[in-house]
Amino acid sequence: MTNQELLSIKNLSVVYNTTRGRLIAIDNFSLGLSEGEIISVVGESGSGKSTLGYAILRILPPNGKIVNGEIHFNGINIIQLSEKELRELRGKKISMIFQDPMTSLDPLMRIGDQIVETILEHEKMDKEEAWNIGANLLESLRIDSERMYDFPHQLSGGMRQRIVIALAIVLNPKVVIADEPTTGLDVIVQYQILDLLKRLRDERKISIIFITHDLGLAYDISDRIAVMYAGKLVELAEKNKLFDRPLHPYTQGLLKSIPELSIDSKNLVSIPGYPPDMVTPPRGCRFHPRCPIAMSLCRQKEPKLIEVEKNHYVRCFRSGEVAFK
Amino acid sequence: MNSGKKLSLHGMLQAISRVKIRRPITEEEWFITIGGSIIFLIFMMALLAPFISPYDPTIKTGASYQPPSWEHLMGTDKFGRDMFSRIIWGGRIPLVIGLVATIFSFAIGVPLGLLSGYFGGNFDRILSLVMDSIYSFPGLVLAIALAALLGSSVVNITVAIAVIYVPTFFRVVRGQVLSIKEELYVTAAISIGAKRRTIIARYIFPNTIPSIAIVFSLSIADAILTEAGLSFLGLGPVVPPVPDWAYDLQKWYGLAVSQGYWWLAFWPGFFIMLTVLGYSLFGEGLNEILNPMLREV
Ligand SMILES: Nc1ncnc2c1ncn2[C@@H]1O[C@H](COP(=O)(O)OP(=O)(O)O)[C@@H](O)[C@H]1O
Ligand SMILES: [Mg+2]
Repeated sequence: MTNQELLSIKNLSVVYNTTRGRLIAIDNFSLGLSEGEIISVVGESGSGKSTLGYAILRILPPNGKIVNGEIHFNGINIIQLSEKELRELRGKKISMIFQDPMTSLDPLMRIGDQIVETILEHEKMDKEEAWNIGANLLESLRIDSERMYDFPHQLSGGMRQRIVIALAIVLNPKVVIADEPTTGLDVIVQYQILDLLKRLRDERKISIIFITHDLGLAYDISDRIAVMYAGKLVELAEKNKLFDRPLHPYTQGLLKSIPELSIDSKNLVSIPGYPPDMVTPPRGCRFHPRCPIAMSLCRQKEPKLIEVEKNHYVRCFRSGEVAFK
Repeated sequence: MNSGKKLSLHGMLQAISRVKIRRPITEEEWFITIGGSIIFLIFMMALLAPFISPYDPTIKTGASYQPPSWEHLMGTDKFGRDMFSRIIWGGRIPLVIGLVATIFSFAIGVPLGLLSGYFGGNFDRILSLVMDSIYSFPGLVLAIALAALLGSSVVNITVAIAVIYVPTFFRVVRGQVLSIKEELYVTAAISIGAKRRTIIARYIFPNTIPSIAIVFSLSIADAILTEAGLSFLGLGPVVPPVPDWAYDLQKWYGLAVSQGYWWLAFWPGFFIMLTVLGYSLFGEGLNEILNPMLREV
C-alpha cells in the first residue's frame, strides 16, 4: 500500500453482538483507496459490504463494534476520533449514499430544506446563501433546481437517488461510499446514476467506494474490484484483470452468473449453496462448503491473501484453477 | 421500511388531495369534518358568550323551573336563571381546563418522550417506570387524589388533570422515536455530520407530530370528561353562581329525575357529551387516516 492513498483500511474487524453470539461481519479486511479512484466492493448479500461503509463513517448500530484495525483518512486514524471530530469528518470528508433512496430522505422535509440543513450543520452562513448553494449544485448535476421545493414523495426513485447523491457531495467530501445506490431502479436509470457518479470522480476528483452485488455494474464503474465473501476480502484486482483471469473460485462463480458474459443462457450458473452463518463460520476457507474444487487443506486451514501477480491479490490455495465450467 | 410514518404522510396528502379532486369523502374524513365543526362551533359559542347569551347567567331572569319556551329556550332553574345562557357560558371552564391541561401534558410528555426514546439507557428505564405507574392509575381516581391534596381551584384542577395525560404523550412519542431513529434518513443525517440536537429537533420530532395530534385531541376529550367527573363528585373548581355544565348537571339531575324537570339535566349533559364527541370524532378520524399502527398503543 502506497503513500498516495487517501483512505486506507488495515486489518479491520467488525463484530455484531447478537442474541446468538458474536457475529463476525468483517474479518481482518484491508483495502486502500487513492484519490480519484473508484473501487467496487462486490459480494452476495450478507457478506459485510454495508458494514464496511458503516465502519468507515463510524455509524455502526449500537450492537456493532470495531474490534480491530485502523482506518486512515489523510493520515488520521478515524477509529481514534472523538464524536465531535467525527462530525467534522462526516459529510465534509467522507459521506455515504444509502441503499434505499425511498427511505433515505426525510419524508417531511422539502429537498431544499434537507440540503440547507446539511450545509448549515457545517458552515456558518445564512439560509438563503445555503439555499443558493443547493440550487446551484442541483443545476450542476443537471437536476432542475425547482426540485428544491419538492417533498421526497413527489419524486421518482431515480430522481430521489440523484438528490441523495447531491446531499452526499454538497459539502465537497473527498470520499463517497455508495452502498448499492442503484438497487430497485430500472436499468436505464441505474446507468444514469453510474454516469453521474463517474462524472463526480472526473470533475471533482471524488474517490468512490461503490458497493454492489452486481459484477456487471462494478465493471462499468470501477477501476479496481474487491470481492468479499463472508466478511473476508477474497480477491482484489484491476477490473480487466479480474474479468480476464478471475483467480478465486467464488469470483469465477460470480462471473459465470452474469447473463451477458455467458455464451448462452444455458451456461448461466449460480453458485450452489448459501453464504455461511457468520456466528459460526466454517473452519478453514469460508468458501469451502460451496467450492467445487475444495480439498482437505481448504477445510482445515484458512488461506492467506497473497499477491499472485502484481496488484492482483487472492485468498485461495488453488487460485487460478478452474472451479466453475 | 416503516409503514407507520409512510402511511401517515401519504394518508395526510391523500386526504388533502381527495378533497381537492372531489373524490368521495371517506368515513374518516367525515369524522374529522364533523368533529372539527362541533369543536369549532362550541368554541365560538363559549368565546362569543357575552354577545350571544340572551341573559346574565348568574341572576334571576324569570320564574323558577320554567320548561323551555321562546323566552327561555332551555328553561330556567330553581333560581329562575336562564339555562340557555348558562349553557352558553358554562362551556368556558371545561373547554379551557381541557385545553390548558392537555397543553401542559404535551409540554412535559413530548420532550421527555423524545429524550427517553432517543437516549435510552437508565434514564429511559426510570422515566418509563414512573410514567407507567402514573398511567396505571385510573385517571379520575388520580385526579380526585390530587384535587384532594392540592385543593380544588381552577389552577389546581388543571394541574391535576395535566398529570394524568403526561404518560399518554410520553408513551406514544417514545414509541415513535424508537422506530423513527432506526429510519434510514436518520442514519443518513448522522452520516452527514448532523448534531444530536438537530437529529432530535429537525428529523425525529416532526415525524412524531401526526401521532401527537391524535393523542392531543383524544386527551382533550378525556380531560373534559375528567373535569366533569370531578365537578359531578363535588370536587370541581367552580364556585356558584359561576356557570359550568358539569356543576349544573350534578346540581339538578336529582330534580330532573324526581320532578320531571328534564331540561335542567339534559342540556348540560348534552353539551358535555357533544364536546367530548367532537374531540373524539376528530381524534379518531385523524387516527384512522394518519396512523393505523397507533391503535395498538
Ligand atoms: N445490526 C446488526 N446486528 C446484527 N447483525 C447484523 C447487523 N447488521 C448486519 N448484520 C449481519 O452482518 C452481516 C453483514 O451484513 P451487511 O454488512 O449488511 O452485509 P451486506 O451489506 O453485504 O449485505 C450479515 O450476516 C448480517 O446479518
Ligand atoms: Mg448491504
